[in-house]
Order: sequence, then structure tokens, then C-alpha cells
Amino acid sequence: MGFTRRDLLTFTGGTTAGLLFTPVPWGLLRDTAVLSENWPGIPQPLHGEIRTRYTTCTLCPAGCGVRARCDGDQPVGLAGVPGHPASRGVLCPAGLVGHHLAFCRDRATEPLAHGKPVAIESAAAAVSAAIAACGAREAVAILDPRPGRAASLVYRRFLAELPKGVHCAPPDSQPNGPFGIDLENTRAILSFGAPVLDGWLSPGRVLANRSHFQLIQVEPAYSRTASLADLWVPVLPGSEDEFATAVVRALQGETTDAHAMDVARTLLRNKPAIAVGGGPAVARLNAVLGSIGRPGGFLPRRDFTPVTDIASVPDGSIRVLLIEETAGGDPLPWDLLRRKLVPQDPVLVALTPWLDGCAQHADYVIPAPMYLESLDEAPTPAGSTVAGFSLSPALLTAPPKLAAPAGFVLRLAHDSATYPDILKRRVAAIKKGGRGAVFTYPDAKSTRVSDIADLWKSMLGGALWLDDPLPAGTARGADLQVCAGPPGPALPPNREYPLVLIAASAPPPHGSPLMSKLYRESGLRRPANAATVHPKTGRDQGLADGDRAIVTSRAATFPVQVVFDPAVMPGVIEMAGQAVSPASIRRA
Amino acid sequence: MPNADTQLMPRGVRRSTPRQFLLWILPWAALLAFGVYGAGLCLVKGLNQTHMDNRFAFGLWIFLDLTVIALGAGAFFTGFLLYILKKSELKAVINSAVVIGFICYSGAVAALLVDVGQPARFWFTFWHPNVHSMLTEVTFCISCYLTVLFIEYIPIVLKNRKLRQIPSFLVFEFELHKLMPVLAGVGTFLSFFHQGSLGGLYGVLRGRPFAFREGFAIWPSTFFLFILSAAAAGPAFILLTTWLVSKVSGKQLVRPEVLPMLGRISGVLLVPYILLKSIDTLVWIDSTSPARGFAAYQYYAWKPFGAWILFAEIVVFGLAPALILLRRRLRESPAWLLSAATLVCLGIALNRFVLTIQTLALPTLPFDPFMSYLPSWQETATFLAVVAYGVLLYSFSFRYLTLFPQEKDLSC
Amino acid sequence: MAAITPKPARYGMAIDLDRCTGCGACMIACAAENNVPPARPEATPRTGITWMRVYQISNGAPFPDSRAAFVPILCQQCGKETPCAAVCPQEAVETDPATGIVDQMPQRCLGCRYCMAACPYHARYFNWWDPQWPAGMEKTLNPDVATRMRGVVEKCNFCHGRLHAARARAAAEGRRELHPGEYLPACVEACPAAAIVFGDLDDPASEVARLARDGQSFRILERLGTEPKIYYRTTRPWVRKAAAQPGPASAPGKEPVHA
Repeated sequence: MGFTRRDLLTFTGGTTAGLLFTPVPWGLLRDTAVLSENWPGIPQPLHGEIRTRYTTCTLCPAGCGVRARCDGDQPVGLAGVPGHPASRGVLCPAGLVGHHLAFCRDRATEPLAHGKPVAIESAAAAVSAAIAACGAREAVAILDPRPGRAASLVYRRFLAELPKGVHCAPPDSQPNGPFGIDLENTRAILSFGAPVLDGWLSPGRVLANRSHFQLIQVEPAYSRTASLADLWVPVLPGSEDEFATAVVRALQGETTDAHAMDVARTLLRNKPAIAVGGGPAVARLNAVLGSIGRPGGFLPRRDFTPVTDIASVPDGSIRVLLIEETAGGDPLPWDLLRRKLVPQDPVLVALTPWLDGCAQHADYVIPAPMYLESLDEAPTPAGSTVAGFSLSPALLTAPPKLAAPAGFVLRLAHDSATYPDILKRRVAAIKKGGRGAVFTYPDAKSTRVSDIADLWKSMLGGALWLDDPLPAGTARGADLQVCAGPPGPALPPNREYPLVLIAASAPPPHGSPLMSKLYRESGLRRPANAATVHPKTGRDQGLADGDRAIVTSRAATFPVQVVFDPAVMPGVIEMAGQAVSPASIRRA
Repeated sequence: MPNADTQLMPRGVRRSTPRQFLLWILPWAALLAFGVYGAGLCLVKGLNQTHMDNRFAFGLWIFLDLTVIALGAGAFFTGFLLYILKKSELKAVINSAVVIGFICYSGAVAALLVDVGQPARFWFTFWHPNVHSMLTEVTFCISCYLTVLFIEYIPIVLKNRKLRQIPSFLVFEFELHKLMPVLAGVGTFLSFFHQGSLGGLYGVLRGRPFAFREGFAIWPSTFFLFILSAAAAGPAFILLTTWLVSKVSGKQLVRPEVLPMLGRISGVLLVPYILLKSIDTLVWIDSTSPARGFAAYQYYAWKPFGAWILFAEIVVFGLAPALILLRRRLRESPAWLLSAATLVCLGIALNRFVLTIQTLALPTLPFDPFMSYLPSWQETATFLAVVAYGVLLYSFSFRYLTLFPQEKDLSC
Repeated sequence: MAAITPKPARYGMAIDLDRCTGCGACMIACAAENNVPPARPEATPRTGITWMRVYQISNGAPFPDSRAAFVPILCQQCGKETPCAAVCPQEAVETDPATGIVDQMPQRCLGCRYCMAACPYHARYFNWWDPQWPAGMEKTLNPDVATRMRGVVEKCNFCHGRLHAARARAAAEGRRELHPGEYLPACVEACPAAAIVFGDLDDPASEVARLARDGQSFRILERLGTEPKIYYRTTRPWVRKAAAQPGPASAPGKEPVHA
């Protein structure tokens, strides 16, 4: 009697049935659940002590207060500071995820000389040598994106020591000169292309006051602001000044232009009214509206130092150009900058946290700390009617080999002070001046400067200093200096370039990958390579919606993807980040 | 010349030589391997390998699963007619129907395991069932029914010439055969419910007014329509497959009156189905959809799914084959019979397509566009793997098992 | 210490479409708060996870009369015959009776996506990939929210991590009730235009209850009968028509262009 097939079957059957009464199969089953719920390779959050720390956002000139929720030392969530006078407790989309920028892939991590990594001392020595080698008529220039900072003073002092030093700023960095805008009392805003509802001044302040003013948007592009304005006046590209003049005439009762009369009527019914953006004619318009130096209009500040617009620097005069780029990274007008450089062997030094901006064109790249990585400053918030200052304390540890732009220039100047020292001096000067009040973020209280014992400590904890306003009647109409607005097309459209390329609203070029993902998925912002045209314009050029195409202007050629939108002005091509120029488009 | 291979074959029938068989098997095996690779990619890399997305949460697989389950309904319905209603002519095709049913259901379950995002959690439905969900019902019923089919498949296998020489298998098969009516009854009951619940899956979606239907108690009208349509399609599919196998193998497998009889059953069931479907569609157009704020004509404004789809589903693929299959003279003509059976099966597929793909393509939010979807190669490959698996399993079954009891008599 | 039972509430929102500028701050704050990963390079706009998503609608007029409005869509927290909860075969969707929040349990989700077919607001999103962050960015993950794995569905839950934290703080102080503004989802806190008002719809004194009752508020796809708890407000008739009108609009929107 051996082991038969029947025995085998019985044994197998019995074992299987018996196993069901043991924990073994149920345990294995549960393990599948545990494994599937703890999938390997999924990052888990850290679990440290939760703290709140405060700083100021430096991604754009608005200078919004930032309340950071930190897990240990790492910010895990940013929010606005309630009660903040400039930002009204708000952070814009870029500011909300500013703590991601430090982890973006295309950041500069070490000094480069002609593309090769070098030590910072070598880079500084090479730049000093280049500066020393400048000829008599050749200038050394520093392009300062945010004039008015303590860092700007460092640049000016350094350049003042040189035979020919030029402190300049990109076009339109000081749009209203010494004037801030009294938004709280404005009742109508006539905007010539200014992105009033899309990143103008401090978004929180603008939106908090939105229900108080009529918004008239004068621009050819169907921008975010144009689509939401109370009235959109789509003028032909380059004719903004003409329209401003027409409105002046309408205000004086001297024209029958229907659109201008419409606008004039709105302005007269909603006083006080201001006009923003635009060119020289807008200054005249503001004078006629009586918005200079009056409540609801432009009010002067104490602190203004005009800075040379780089557009007005003579062409071909700059031998060494140091360009500072901010983490918020507004694109720079490259053609313009190139024209200002000497034709033979100019030296370009990029002081930037990014590798893909001016660093691409630079001989020397000095990697700047990313937003939140080192102590920084925020000057007067954009549009503020009083001077202001705040510190932007670091919330992250900066990787090694970085150098703050102002710190690098101090090194070039053989100055033993550090950038934090400079900032301390600035705060000391504020304390000495004795004017104004400090709004401290943690407790949302405003205290007179004279009542604060340790101003530096207050500022380091997150605070905004605001000066006292100038007495009424200080300003005169002629003081309002308006930078040249968007230039008209160099040539009107012709057969070769039958359309006009204009700028569409776009998100900042650098941001958290979450931001680009969300804009892309929702379609709220078109991608950088989208060329939007009116369907009839597109069809007339032989295109269909979604086609790949090439846009050619006199300056450059771009591959694009065509988007049809009947809201867009016929005859134009809307693309992000473009200067107005005649252009053509054809299918790729 | 008897050899190991021929000794496995049923007595009295001719089968192709091993070499011919191998030539037939190899391409399907290759297709299966390719399909398994596609499915493997989906399992290993995740469902991003498909072209499904957040709007098209269901795609090719769900549509095909619903279709093959409806077509595999021939298994339960034939069993019901044979064992419960005692229509003994269907003995000619019952084995083949069971094998096809088994293939359809096992293939659908395999595809479903690839379709879900976390296949290792498949047992959660049994552990935390949601009694309100149609999908819970589907899961339970299909699992049970697959088991029933498996149990019905075993006697067919055990009747193999070689295997029945083993006494214990013979006894086991004999005992099982006594259970057949019970199994058929259970199978019918389970099938009734899951065919219906598959329809109920879409009928209960109050968020999708295109698919939503009122009905009887908790069951929307699509529940009953799916049962009827599956019952109508089953015999038609069996008809088609029998004819196909007959053509491929070059043998006469059933007596000439069997196929027309299947056609007649299909036709008889199609008539109430078309009638009820038309009434249901009218009620939907007139009251169900407008009550939700969606006028029915709006759905058909979205190209390419115009009103022609509705017309095609009810008239071209429903009424027309019903009329053909009800006329004896047309049934006797193979060309008419097969065309009508094909139309019936295509109509079922179209009906499932409309409820899965078209439902998801139509926007519900007022500012949403119409969505479009095309399956990726991995999805298509997985489906082809199921087809290849089916062909292979059926080929082996046909070669070594008695799927068509009348073949022996007809081959003399 | 005795256990404190929080006072039941029925949380809802009132979103002012006249204030929304389509900036997307709500979307971004939501994604940052809830550990949503950045998109993979091969992702399409329809495979992304956007618990909060802002749609752009237009008045349908061509240039120069075109006007836009923006509609933030998130889980509407349907209160009656919740479509997703009714259809989940594993009961991975649960409506909390104490808050009215429809909660999704990714740990129990099988990934069958039936709930996604059921949701008329398309507010549910599937993890088509395993989440992946750029090197180092995992340090910025919110510790109060679990990360998910691929193959499961997720959606807005009114930042219930914040609710638990607020309740813990209130309980530590011996309070049953939360102060208004003590518990706010990330999107509400982040909106620069203060367009979203959040609160207890059952509390007659709350701002959101008052807004929900007045004539300017409407709900999207109201006639489906799911009793959503998100109210939208506008004074512009064309916006109301475009957003509230059920069924496909006469001027259908376009799918977003992607590079």
C-alpha cells in the first residue's frame, strides 16, 4: 500500500481547506494591501517641528509680506501676511510657490568663466582686469533691475570710482518716477497697456480696491486685464499716444471721436481719475485730469533717485556690462542691450540665479542666491505713495559657491563690508531719520520708528517700514516723468510683414514646475510658443487652428503653435514676451 | 496511425495533423506574447501607457469587456434553454457555448485586472462591499459566474478520451453532470444580475444625463435592456462562432437546422428588446434628460456622434436583423442568416460603445469641449492578447474535446 | 481631559465670479498644500491632477466685444445622492456627517475610476503616474497631507488636514466651536481677490450662508439634483447663463493648447 494518487489528492485538498483556517492566507492578503498602500519610492513628507517665520517676497517690485509655515527649517507653505499695508495679506501665484524655486533645475550653481567652472576669486579678478583694461571712452555699466535698493547704492558708489561708470536700469523700471498711486481713492483708471489686474503694483492692493474704480483698458492685445476691464478700447498697435491725445481733446470738448468721447465721459463721471502706462501723451493726459499731487492720483515720495534708462545710453559705448537678474526673472531686451555694447570684445558679466537668462550670453556667470536663500531687501513697494523698505530674511540654507550680486560688486570694489553690513547701514539710516512707522508681520502692529529699540531685530523678524507722506501740494505736474511706453512698430506693416506682433500676457519665465503644470493643464495661460490670431487672419495666411508655424519679424524668427481666438484683434499675432513689430507667419 | 496526439482526440472525428495545428497556433501564440507584453507594460509602468485620461476614465478595455460579456451570454442563455426549458436541440452547441463563455469571461476578468490602477487591491471589493454600487454587484456576480463556468467547463474536459479512462475522473464527471441543471439555474440567475448590473453601471449615473435612466426601484431601465440584449446576442454569437469554426476546420459540426434555430431565438428576443429600447429612448428624450436640464438633441450636435448613431443602433442593427431572423425563408439562407447575426452582434457592440465611449465624450459642464480618445497600442495589444488567448484555448478545446456532439454523426 | 465633540457643520463655499481674475493662485495654493506633484514631461493637460481648476469662459462675442470670466471648479461636495460615493465598489468615498465633506480614501481605492465617470463636475483625478518631484523638492511637502501612489483617485477634500489641525487647537483650548476664519482651505486663504467665501452653510450668522441664500447665487448643474455645496455669484447675466446653463453651451470652449 504505497502513496497513491488518491492520497495525493486528499492531502492537497485537505491542506488547502485547512490553510483557510490559519492566518497564513489572510496575512498574505493583508500584506498585499499594506504593500499597495506603502508603495515604495513615493516621497514622504518630513515630520519636524512646525514653526512660522516671516520674510518679504523679492520676486517682483510689489514686495509682499510672506508668512512661511516651516517644517523644521524647511518652508512647506507660503501665505500672505494679514494686514500688510502693501499686499493686504495676499501672495500672487508665483509668490505662493516661491519656496520651490531653489529646487528648479536650471539654476546657476557655481561661478563660470567662458562656460567653465572657476573659483569666485578668479572670476572677480578677471572682471576687475577687464574693467581696468577699459579705454578712455569705454564705459563700465551695471544694469540694475530694481533701482532704489541699498544694493543700488553699492553699485553707484563702485561706478563713481571708475573713470566712466554708468548705473542704469532696464526700460520701464521706474514707470512713474517719484510718484506712487493713491489707489484707495482713485475712481477711474485709464490704462494704456498696464496689466492692472494681472500683476500690476501689488495685486492684493489693486484687487482690494477693484470695486472702487472703473477700469478702461487701452491696448491692442486681448490681455487678461482687457478681458476683465469695464471697457476695452482696442487701439491699433503703436497708436496709444494718438488715442491719449484724442482723449485729451475729448476732455476739452474738441473732438467727435466716439471711443475717445466714451472714455472721456467715464473719466468725467468717475473722479478722481488717473491714466497709467503709455508714452508722453499720457503725461499730458494726467495733467488735464488733474491727477498729479492730488488724492486719488499720483502722490510724490521722498526717496526717488532717477536712474539712467539703458535705452538712452549711447550705442556701442559699454565695454563691461554687469547685469543683475532677479529670481523673478523678467526677460531682458537683448537686442537693445547688445546695441549698447562695444562691437569688439565686450565683456558681459551675469549676476544671476538662473542659467537660462542672460547667463547664456555672458562671459562670466556669478551665481546669485535664489529667493529665500540669503538675506535680501525689498525697496519701496511698487506704487506706494510713501517710501518703504523691508528685509527679506533667508528661510533656506544657500548651497556653497554662491555670491550675492551686491556682495560681488563690493568684492570688486575691494570693500571689506558684506551685503548684510550694507543692509544694516540702511536700517540704521532709517532709524536715524526717525520718520515713519514699522508694520511688524508677526503681530500685524504698526509702531513709530522712534518707539522701536532694536529696529534691525524687528526688521529681521519680518517687517515693513513706511515713511511719512510728503506734505500736500509738494508735486507739480511737470514733475511726472513718464518713461517712454511701448514703441510703435519700426515700420508699418507691409507686404513682407503684413501683420503686427504684439505681446500677450504670460506667466513669469521662471517659476515652480507646479505653476507651469497648472497653467498648462487649465489653459489659463497659453504656452510661450503659442501664437494667437483671429480665425480670419489665420485663414487668410493659410493656417488652421493648432498648426505648427513660423513667425518672422525683422529681429528674429520663432517656431510657434497657432491658436485661433475670435477675441483677438484681426491683423495681429499675440505672443508672450514680444516687442511690437511687423511680422509674418506661415505654416511650418 | 494512432499516436499519443490522436489518442487524445475524440473518437470518430478527423483533426488536422500536428504540423498543420502548429502552423495555426503559432501566429496566435505570437500575438498572445505581444499582447502580454503590452499588458505587462501597463502593469509595470502604470496606466499612463494607455491613452485614457481624467475625462476618458474608461476606454477601449471597458467597452470591449462589456461587449464580450454580452456576447458570452450565449453560455448562460443556451444553458437556460437546454437544462431549464428542455430545448434538447441545443445540446449540439452547448459545449461550444460554455467554452466561449468561459473564454469571454476569463478574458474580461484578466483585462479588468490590468485596467484597474491597483490590481493587488482587487479583493477590497469583497472585503468592503458597497451595497449601493452596481460595480460591487458586477464584481461579485462575475466572480461567481466565472466559477460556475469553470465548473461547467470541467466535465467537457473530463470527457476527453484519455482522461475519462481514469475512473475517479469519470465518476467525478458523472456526478457533476447531474448537477448541470442546478449549475445552469445558478448561472442563469447570476448572469441575469450581472448582465443587468453592467447596464445599471451607466443607468445610475445621475451625473451623466446622456446615460442616466429612470427605471424600476433601484434598477434603471438599462439594467433590463442589457439583459434582454445579451440574451438576444448570445445565440447570434454562438451561431456566428459555430459557422466560423466550421469554416476554418472545414467540417460540418451541427445539423443544418441548428443554426437557423439559434437565429430564430435571437430574432424572437430582439423584438421585445427593440420595442422596449424604443420606448425607453422616447421617455429619455421626452422627460428624463430634460428634467436634468439637458435637451436630448444637444447631445447629437457634437460631431461625429450625430443622431445617426441612435438610428443605427435601433433600426439598422436592431430592427433589421430582427425582421430577417423572424422569416423562415431568410433564416434558411446562410448569407441572410449570417448577415443578420453579424448585425445583431455589432448592434450590441454599438450599444455598449454608446454607453461607455460616447457618454464620456460628451461634456457635462457647460463650458467644456467635446472630448476625443483613441486607444494606444498597449491597449489594443492587451485586447488582442485576450482574443489570441481565446482562439488558442478554443483551438485546443476543439482539437481534444467534444465541443460539437453532432460532428461525429455528420462526418460519416 | 474630557473628549470634545466638535459642533457639526455643513461646510460650503460662495465664489464671486465677478471678482475672480483667473490668476490661478487658488490652483497653485491647493497643489502646494496637498502635495500634488509636478507634471511628468509626457503628461497631457488631461492627465494632470488639479483638485482646483479654473476654467475660462467667454461671452461668445467676437472681437472687439469679447469678454472673459473665470470659473473655479473644485469638488462640489454633493450633499444628496452623492454620485461618486454611491458608485464606489470599495466604499473608498465617505461623506462625513459632521462636516458634509465628501472624503476620498486613496489607500482603499482600487483605481477602477467608476467615480470619475460618475462625477459631472470632473472634479476627480487619477494618478496615471507615480508622483515625482525634482531633486530636493520633496522637502517642501506638507507634512499634514499623505502622498498618494499611482493607480488611485484623489480629489478636493476642503483641506481636511487643516480642519483637523484647527479642531485640535480648539480642543486644546476647550472649545467646541471653531472661530470663523480659523479653518480655511488653502484656496480660500490664497485668493488675491477674496473671491471665495468659506464657512458653515447651516450657521445662519455665517457670511457664506447669507450669500448662498441671496438671489445672485446659483449652483452649476443644479438640476441634476446632487445638492452641491459650492455657490457661484455674479451680477453679469451672460456669465450666469454661460456657467449655469446646463448642457453644452452654444459656443463650446476649446481644449487648452499644449506645446
